Parts: sequence; structure tokens; C-alpha cells
Amino acid sequence: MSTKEKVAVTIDAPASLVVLRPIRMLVRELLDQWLSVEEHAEFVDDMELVFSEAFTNICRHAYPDRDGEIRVTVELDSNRLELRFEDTGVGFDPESVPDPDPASPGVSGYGWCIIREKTDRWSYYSDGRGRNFLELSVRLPQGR
Amino acid sequence: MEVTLHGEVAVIATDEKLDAVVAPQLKETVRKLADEENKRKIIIDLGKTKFIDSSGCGSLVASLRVLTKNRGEMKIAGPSRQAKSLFELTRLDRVFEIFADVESAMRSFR
Repeated sequence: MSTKEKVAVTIDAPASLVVLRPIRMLVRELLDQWLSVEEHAEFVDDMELVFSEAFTNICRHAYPDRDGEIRVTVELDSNRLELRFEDTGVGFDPESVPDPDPASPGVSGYGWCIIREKTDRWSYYSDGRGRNFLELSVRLPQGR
Repeated sequence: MEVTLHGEVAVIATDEKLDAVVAPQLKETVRKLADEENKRKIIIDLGKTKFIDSSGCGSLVASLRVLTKNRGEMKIAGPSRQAKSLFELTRLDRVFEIFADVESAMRSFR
């Protein structure tokens, strides 16, 4: 595959766990095709995990008591993977999420820690018109 | 998800994926075994599980809580490289008793 190539995929989906696995699989397949999965299996596993955490968090926390939508955009070029999630639900403050404490393990609260750890850059903001954006950026492993 | 009984030990073999879709099912299975069938020694066999996320981890913590409340024990067996990496990242490797396979976990009860 040429290093000049770039691909972007946008998916509008219900914020529902019913579609978590199919969309996660699509992202995984895209990465498998973009990279050599045999050489980069751990990276692909990590990105599948990051996607799962972001999508599940929005389903659970952005729309706690109503149906909603998520727009997912996946962009790949020769250097980076960018994942963007848009929703119109309840926003949150990422800085308020504590790191896991093994002395008092919780049943939730690990997702944001995973996202922070597995990505190079992240941002979360609201546009003031009811849309929230989670943007994640990761450098691709060398040698694709 | 499959449950097999080996004397007083119950082994729950999880499916290929342990995520938000099936996390409630694991919690409910453990609750039923502990509360209704008085099973206090449970092994969660992750040998077939290729993908686990934080919801899966949360369901394991919830299961451990149920068993601890019932004065029981929970062991985790056969985690993949991905699962072990996630347990380390979330520091749950310090919370769970983790064994390479079901046989080792079984022996640790004796």
C-alpha cells in the first residue's frame, strides 16, 4: 500500500451496545488491512480496546436515560490513526476521572484510564451547541 | 459462557469476547452460583477469551465482590496476552488471583 494513501470512514450509529461489536470489528478489519496484522497484532488489539472503551462510555454516560446517536470517524494515513466520536448527550470532565486504585477496586472507571494510556493525544470538548467531541490520535507502528 | 461443576468448584468458561455486551451475564451467573447454589469456589476460565475490555474487568470485580461477601474465593485462569496487559494497566493484577490454566487454579483451592 502506498504511503501517500489516506482513508476516512464515517459511521452514524445508535448509541447502543447492540452495534458495539459490529462497528468495533469494522475498525479492527480496517486496521488489519492497513497494517500487517501479523507484525502489529498488539497495536491492533490496543486500538480495538480503545474503540471499545470510547464507544461504551458514550452509550452508558452520554445518554443515561434516552436514546441517542454517535458519529464515529476513523482516519488512517501513513503515520497516524485518528478516531473521532461525536455525540449530543451529557458531557463530562475527563480530568475528574481518577486512576484505578487496587486498594479499592471499582466495577467501573477503567475506560478513561485505558484511553489516556493507549493514545498519544486526546481531547474532549463541547462546541457550545450541544455536540461533544472526543478526538483520539495514535502514531502507527513503523514498517507498515 | 459455560458453567461446569468439579465437586465444590464451579468453572465459568467465558466466550471469545468479554465486553459490555456480556458483562451483565457473567455477573448474574456468579451471583446465582454464589447466592442460590451456595458455590463459594469459582474459577473464571478466560482461556477462550481473545478480547476483554474495561466492562469485562468490571464484571470480574463485581463477581469477586459477590464471592467475598459470601466468604468465597474467585480465581482467574488462562488469561491471554491482551487480558494480562489490561489487568496490569488497570492494576487489577494486584487484585485478582491469576493462574496460567484451570488446573493450576484448581490446585490452589486445596
